[in-house]
Amino acid sequence: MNVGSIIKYYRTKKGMTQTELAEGICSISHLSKIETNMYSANEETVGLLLDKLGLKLDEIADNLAELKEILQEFISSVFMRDTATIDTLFEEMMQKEDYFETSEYVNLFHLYKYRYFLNKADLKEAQVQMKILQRLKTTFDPIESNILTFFNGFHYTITEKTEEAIKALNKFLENPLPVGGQWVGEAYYLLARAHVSMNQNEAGLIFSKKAYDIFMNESNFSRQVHSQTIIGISYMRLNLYNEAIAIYKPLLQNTRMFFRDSLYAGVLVNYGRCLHMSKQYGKAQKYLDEALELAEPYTESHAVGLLIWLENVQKNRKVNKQWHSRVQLLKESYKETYGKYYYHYSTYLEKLEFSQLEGVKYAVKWLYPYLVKHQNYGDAREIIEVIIDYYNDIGDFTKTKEFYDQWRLLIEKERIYYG
Amino acid sequence: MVKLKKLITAGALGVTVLAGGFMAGSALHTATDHNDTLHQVASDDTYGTQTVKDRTVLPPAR
Repeated sequence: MNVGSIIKYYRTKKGMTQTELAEGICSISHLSKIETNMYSANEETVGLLLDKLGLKLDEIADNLAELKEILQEFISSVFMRDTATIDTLFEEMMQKEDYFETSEYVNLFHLYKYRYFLNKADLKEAQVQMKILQRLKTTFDPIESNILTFFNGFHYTITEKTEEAIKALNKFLENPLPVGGQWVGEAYYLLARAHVSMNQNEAGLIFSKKAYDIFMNESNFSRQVHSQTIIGISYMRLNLYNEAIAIYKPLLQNTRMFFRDSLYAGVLVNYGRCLHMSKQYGKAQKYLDEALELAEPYTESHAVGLLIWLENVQKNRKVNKQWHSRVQLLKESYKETYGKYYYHYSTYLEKLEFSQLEGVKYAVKWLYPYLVKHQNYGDAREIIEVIIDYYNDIGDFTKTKEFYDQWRLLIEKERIYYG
Repeated sequence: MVKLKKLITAGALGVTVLAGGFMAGSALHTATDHNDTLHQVASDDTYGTQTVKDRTVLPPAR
């Protein structure tokens, strides 16, 4: 406990000068050294100073315990995704800011502030907080340093610097410090998510299973559902459709009951895609229709759902007027939000509807390069397989070989686990 | 947040197109509904803040 900082905090709070407080107890320079923690005063002097401030040592200890509790509750609420409590506790933290500043929890306080702004996706405030942490870094103990590594991993995740995120999260997990199950579970979850977004699905599966087990032990239902979603995606992308379907069934039920307005539409889309990939087009249609009814316009669930719906209808040879109007809808509506991803995909499907040659020409010129450039390796792999099949069918083996070599590079990328 | 802002901007510009599309589809939404929805979406911590990845909807990072 830094008694000196506490004395200074309460003296200032009471509007007393150093001269007033030191009078009859010790010299001003002595008090000044005590307050800056340069000098460890004897118990008697501390007792007299605290008496004069109307404080008792055990009360101070209680106050410190309270600060510790607030921080613990705060981070626990972050991991449990209890948004309302996060805000309430953050407000409480900020009310006690100057007290935190004087306590031994000052570093943790600033680390959690950083995490709060990241949670709010307030990157501007997070940057400000990062600068404070850079200054404090030299005073960090190993646990605090590791927490910073972890939060940086989270920062990279939300700013979509996936490879950096993977590196930071692995570094955090290398250091077996006693930070608690939720931390490790969260790190596994974020790693799983990062790997899946790089189309490294085996790694995604391994980490999401680890995360799921931890979240189950920690009774973190929300993250259990998130981890299960990633397990389902990983199985599906690894073409293990029966495994994926076994995951999706309870997931659909749970999200319908407990996350109807948030996660359910996305899970319906993923399940629809899984059925589509296992060539159950009729069944996929039912789930995709439901997803499109439920998904809010301009959300990712809606856009992805629309794209898979278009592909599914096309594969099922049921293209009609509604299909054409939805192609236009997808082409025009998401450019601002997602760049040209949906534009290129819907144009590709449109050309493919006209003729296979037109579709492949568009894929070679626009869609495939776009997907590779934006690290959509899973999509890129599927498209390149269509291109290879086409050139193989028409007997253009130079082109077949050229794209086959690129296909191999994509496969290599899928097998990389650790940065 | 930046992306959400873009999302909202995109919404304001694309309402007519989307409304047309929805009428063609099964759900009927009005332009006003869309704007209300956009604000809800922006305030909810759900999907919608991520870049699309390989035609699957990833659960949220936050």
